[in-house]
Amino acid sequence: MRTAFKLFKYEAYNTVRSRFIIGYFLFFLLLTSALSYFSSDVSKVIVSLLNIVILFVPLISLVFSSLFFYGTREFTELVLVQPVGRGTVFLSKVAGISVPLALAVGTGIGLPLLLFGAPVSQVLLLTLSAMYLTLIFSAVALMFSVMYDDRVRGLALGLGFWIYASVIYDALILFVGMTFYDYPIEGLIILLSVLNPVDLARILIVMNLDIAALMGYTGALFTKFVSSFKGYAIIITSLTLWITVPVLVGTLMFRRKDF
Amino acid sequence: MESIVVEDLHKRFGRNRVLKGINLNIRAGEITAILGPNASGKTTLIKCILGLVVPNRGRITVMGEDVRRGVGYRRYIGYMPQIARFPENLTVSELLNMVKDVRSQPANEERYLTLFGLHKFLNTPLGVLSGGTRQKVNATLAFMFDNSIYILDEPTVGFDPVASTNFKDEVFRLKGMGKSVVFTSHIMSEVEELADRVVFLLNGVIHFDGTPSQFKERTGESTLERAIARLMKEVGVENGL
Repeated sequence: MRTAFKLFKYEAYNTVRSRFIIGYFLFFLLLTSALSYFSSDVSKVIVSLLNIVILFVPLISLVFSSLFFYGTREFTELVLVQPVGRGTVFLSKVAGISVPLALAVGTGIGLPLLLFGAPVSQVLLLTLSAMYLTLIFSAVALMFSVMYDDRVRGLALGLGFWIYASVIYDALILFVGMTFYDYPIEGLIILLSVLNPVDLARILIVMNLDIAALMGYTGALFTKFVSSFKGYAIIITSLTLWITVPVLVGTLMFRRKDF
Repeated sequence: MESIVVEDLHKRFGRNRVLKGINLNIRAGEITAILGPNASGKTTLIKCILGLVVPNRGRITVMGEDVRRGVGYRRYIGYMPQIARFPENLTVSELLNMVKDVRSQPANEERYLTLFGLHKFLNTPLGVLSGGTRQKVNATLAFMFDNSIYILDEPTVGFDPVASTNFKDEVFRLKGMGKSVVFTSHIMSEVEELADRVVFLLNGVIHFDGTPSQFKERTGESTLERAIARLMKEVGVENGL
């Protein structure tokens, strides 16, 4: 564990100093500040940010993590020839890439919102969702990157997952809703939403804004569902599973991978 | 004493059989050059020893430790990879500290920072260093621990003549201390200068294992380069090194 932390520290140093991370942080800082400055309604600012967070954050996390992994392959080899287990190397790499990225978006959004007086609970949920999405899509991207040596393939699979989660999934939900309109499918819709991290993050933010209509059917259902502790627990557990499963699969593949 | 023992090593990538039953002993106090044309399997062999590639069959022991039974054996090895690409945003000193942190072994980096003139680059990000300077950092990383085995993949590529000479002197010094040095190179003059022993690999099979002079005698050629070309013709491969 100590070795993992040591490696994480250096991986994170490397990530934090990349110009992209600094630009990414400044982008969210300026955007959130500008939106908060020009709007008097905090809910509207959060909804605007929500749309950016659920589309933009997963895509950037995915592309950045994937390219960073492929770009530091020789460095990974250098670490792997040291007396360190492969699982430790992979976990430190996942954390070293995704944690700075999550912190950049979390602080870039959270700090200006708090300064402009947004309610702490809403800021927390928005930043939590953005950070969860970053960690999830980084983990998924790294899993695909371990799976394929060819960076085009690895990145394409990641982008495919992003399209599924951000675009295709909504169409699927709509299709299920339309097809089984006459049946009691609330439970099914809730279950289906758990299968999409983007949907979960969206629900987590919106349910606290009392504007569930913006999300359509799933939102209305979930607002009812998650107004309980049980609902929160299910969403947070599902989001955490969305991080742990790709990390576990990635670790297993990384252990057997030829470099 | 044998520091590395490779027994019946097989490795396949998909349908491509890269190593076909390699048997090799690397001895202490000996400089061994592993030679072969591109795609002959020499990098795969080295990577199997280092644990970067997982063999399909066979056994490798390093200082008596089976490489499949843990990662501890890597503390005996200093490795200098062919491509010195490091994390761009870390400085030279951070990289050295990282490897020292991870290995938790006493290191003598001062000797090599002086030998390769790297002191002035200690606080420079690795991304802005020239290829030659990065290769010197690479050599420092490989040499700075008191290892029993040094594995060097195309070590002098990118070195200026001074660094190259210093590097070779260091290799001889390590040999004198009873260390095993294994290296690959496409520069035959370098092989003739350094190697006590030549292992020639072709299509995943060892075709020759002996001293450079025995290699030349066997092929009836006057230089190593010609000896290799002759051997490749004998086994029906004519693509160059």
